[in-house]
Amino acid sequence: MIGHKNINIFALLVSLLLLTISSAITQSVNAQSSQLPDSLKGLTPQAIFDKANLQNEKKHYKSALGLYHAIEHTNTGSGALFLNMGLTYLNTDSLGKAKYYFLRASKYPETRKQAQQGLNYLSNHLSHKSAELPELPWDRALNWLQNDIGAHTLLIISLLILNAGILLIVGVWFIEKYKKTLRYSGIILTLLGILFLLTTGFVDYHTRRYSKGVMIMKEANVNEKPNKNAGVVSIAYEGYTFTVDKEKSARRDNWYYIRMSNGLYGWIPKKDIKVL
Amino acid sequence: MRKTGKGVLHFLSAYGVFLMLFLAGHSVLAQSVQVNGTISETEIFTGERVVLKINVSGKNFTNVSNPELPQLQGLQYLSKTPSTSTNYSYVNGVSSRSYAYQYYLQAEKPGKFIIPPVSVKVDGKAYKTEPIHITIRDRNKAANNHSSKGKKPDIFLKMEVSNHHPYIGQQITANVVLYFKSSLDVTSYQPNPGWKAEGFWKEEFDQTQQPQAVSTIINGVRYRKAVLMKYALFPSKNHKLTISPFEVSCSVRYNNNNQDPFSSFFSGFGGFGSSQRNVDLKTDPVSINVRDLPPAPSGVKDIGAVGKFTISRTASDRQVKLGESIEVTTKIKGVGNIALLSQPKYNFPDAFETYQPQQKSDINRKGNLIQGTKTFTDVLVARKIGTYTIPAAKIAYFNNDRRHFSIKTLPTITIHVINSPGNVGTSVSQNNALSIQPVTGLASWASLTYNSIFTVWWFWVGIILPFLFIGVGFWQKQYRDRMQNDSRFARSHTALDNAKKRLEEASEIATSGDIKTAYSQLHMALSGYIGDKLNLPKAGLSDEEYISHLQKQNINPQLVSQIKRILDKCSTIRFAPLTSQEDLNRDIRMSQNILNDLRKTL
Repeated sequence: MIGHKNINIFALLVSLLLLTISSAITQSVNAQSSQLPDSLKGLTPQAIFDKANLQNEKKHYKSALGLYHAIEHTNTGSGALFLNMGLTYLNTDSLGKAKYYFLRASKYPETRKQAQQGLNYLSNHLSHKSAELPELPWDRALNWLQNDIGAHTLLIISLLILNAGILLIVGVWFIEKYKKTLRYSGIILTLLGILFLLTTGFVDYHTRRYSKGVMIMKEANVNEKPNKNAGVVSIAYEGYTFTVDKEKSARRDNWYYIRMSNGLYGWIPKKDIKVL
Repeated sequence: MRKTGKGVLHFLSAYGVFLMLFLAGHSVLAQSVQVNGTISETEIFTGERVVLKINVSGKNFTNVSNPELPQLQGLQYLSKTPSTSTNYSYVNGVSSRSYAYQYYLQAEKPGKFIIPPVSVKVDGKAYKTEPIHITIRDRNKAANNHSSKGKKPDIFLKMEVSNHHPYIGQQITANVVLYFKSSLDVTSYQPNPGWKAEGFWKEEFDQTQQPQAVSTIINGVRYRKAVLMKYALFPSKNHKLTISPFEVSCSVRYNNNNQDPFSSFFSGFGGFGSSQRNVDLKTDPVSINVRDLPPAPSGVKDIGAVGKFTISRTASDRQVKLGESIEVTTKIKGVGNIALLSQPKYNFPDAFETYQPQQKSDINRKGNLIQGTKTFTDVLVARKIGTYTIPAAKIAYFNNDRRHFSIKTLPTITIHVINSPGNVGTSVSQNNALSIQPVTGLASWASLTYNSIFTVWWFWVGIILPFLFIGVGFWQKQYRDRMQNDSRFARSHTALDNAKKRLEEASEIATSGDIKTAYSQLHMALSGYIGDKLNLPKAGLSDEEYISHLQKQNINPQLVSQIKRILDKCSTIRFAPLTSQEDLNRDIRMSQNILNDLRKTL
């Protein structure tokens, strides 16, 4: 028998859970218009995007890129924006930058297919190709979780499962009927929720620590140490992709610590690559 | 003046007597300690080891320091930690003792050298040995000396080369040969690591069996010889090259059947302990004059091959789909400098995209010649539809037996590239343009900033909520269990509700006009509340007993008297004349107030 007051407390907690989940799902776009140049202030990203597309159609690529970058600087983006930027850089023969934006566009479902075509095209036109180690199943799974699912979605799923599991376990104390079913399903859901939560934590850590980087200059040395005079590990060419260790790189002003696609590690000047 | 002269004479004669007495005494002391140094052999060969022995003996001394070792020339200490021995003797009532320090030295350079005096401190006083003269002879020179005069070494090492005038890239065989007299048994040998044949590509031949010793005579002296190691060397420069000395450490043992038990090799170790000895041997450097190759015929591809080879070229497929890869494999098989061969470069049609070629070597090191196969694989990807030809190629290699270039012509290879429908990547390449167009119109926008899950508030709420659920649930469970199992707790917690319910019933009854029943209900409400709260029996108590229990709870006496008055009224109303409805309502309200006051205290 549960008193009215206690039912109210439970109702309040469940409402809080639902509010939390709905708040998490609602992701608002905060366009930071304050970072826009004066001429563009007051315009939404969509409006600037339309202007940029017009410039692009007129083959005013430099002007179009300026507008696209203005949107990017507001920390707002879309698959369409990055795909168009990739195509525009392709038209200006900046293949490294084109690859960078195609890679960014490939993260959005609506432009994934076109971005992949762009990347295929580039792979046939870049002057050098780097050997690539086959992706381990573990890495593939992690990339899928990181890029296709995302840490925040995983977190919502984890919290839902975990709280549902706990509610079922608590329910065992009060509901005599289906006690066994409630207990086992509660334990399973709770364990599953904890597992999801740990996975979410790892995906979050990986997302914060590592990023993909693309070589945008024609050629650069990858050094053993963050020093131009240090031993050269390899030479990186335009379009090479790397895994950038942001945590380790944060300790150096002008260098990124990278892992090349062939498994070699080294330091490369920050100006030579763009990090996704 | 005369007086003065006599004084001087007296002084000088007294001083002379004192000096003689002092020197005599000193001489006696000095003679009581003797320090001498000996060496096990004074004429040795390079690489041999000798024992330097420092002996301290005497009668009246207590402390002996370790010898202070001098710098040596031509020799080196194998260890500066000596092996020591002590000897005591007591003869005719006189005790004496001696200390011996032994150091192992190795002969490094040929020449005549002096081991400088070795200093030892005995009871704080320094003693020195006499310098020792030693002659070191070059082992390899002595072995190759054609003169029958002079001592010959018992063992030496030689690098024997098959050809001193090879062409660049031509194989020569370098054998490391150990020569030793039959008076020795070689128990083991260990090549010193780090031998570099600079200017050569070297391959060590596989040796399937232990080296076999055969008899030979060198300058009239019978030796046994055994090939320890066998190398194939391929000169990579057309200069005068030098094969650097090869070093081997050997363990040898004195052979009991030896006809010459006083062989210099063993006597060189002074005859201490076992007949097992170690000796470090080194070959002399060997000069090689490398000849340059004649110029290759024009119009051929020179891949730097020297030897005897067969060359072939094949394609993995003659018909491929657009975008598919083909492997063009060049196989060079034969005897010679397999590992040094460079890849033949072909003129592939522009329709093919070329990738980093692969190469593989399979070398056979058995026998006396290095042979094997080297395979170069060019990876091509077809990028245009059509029929294409990889032109014929002439590959030359230098046949060192015939001393001229041999030419092998590789035939043309024709490849048909056909269309592959549905291949997105190839259609893009074929048209040399990208078929995708910029996106115009509405786009869906999202924030690019990644917020860690730990920075969003709902993460923490979502994490804390399960604990709240458990806490509230547990609290409820406890409450429910007590309500079911603890009647006192249950009565106490339901007392107020029950009392209020009865008061409401009393009000309802009052409206129907049955005032006496209503007072009865009012009595039950109050007495029931007190009984439930104080866990008193549910029936059988008088009003006085309820009041008495209340008084024990230290309740405000005024409140108690109010309760008493109501209870009394309720009890007596049945026998009293009619009471008004208003009185009853007032008493109900008063009872409600009483219940509220009691709730605060009970």
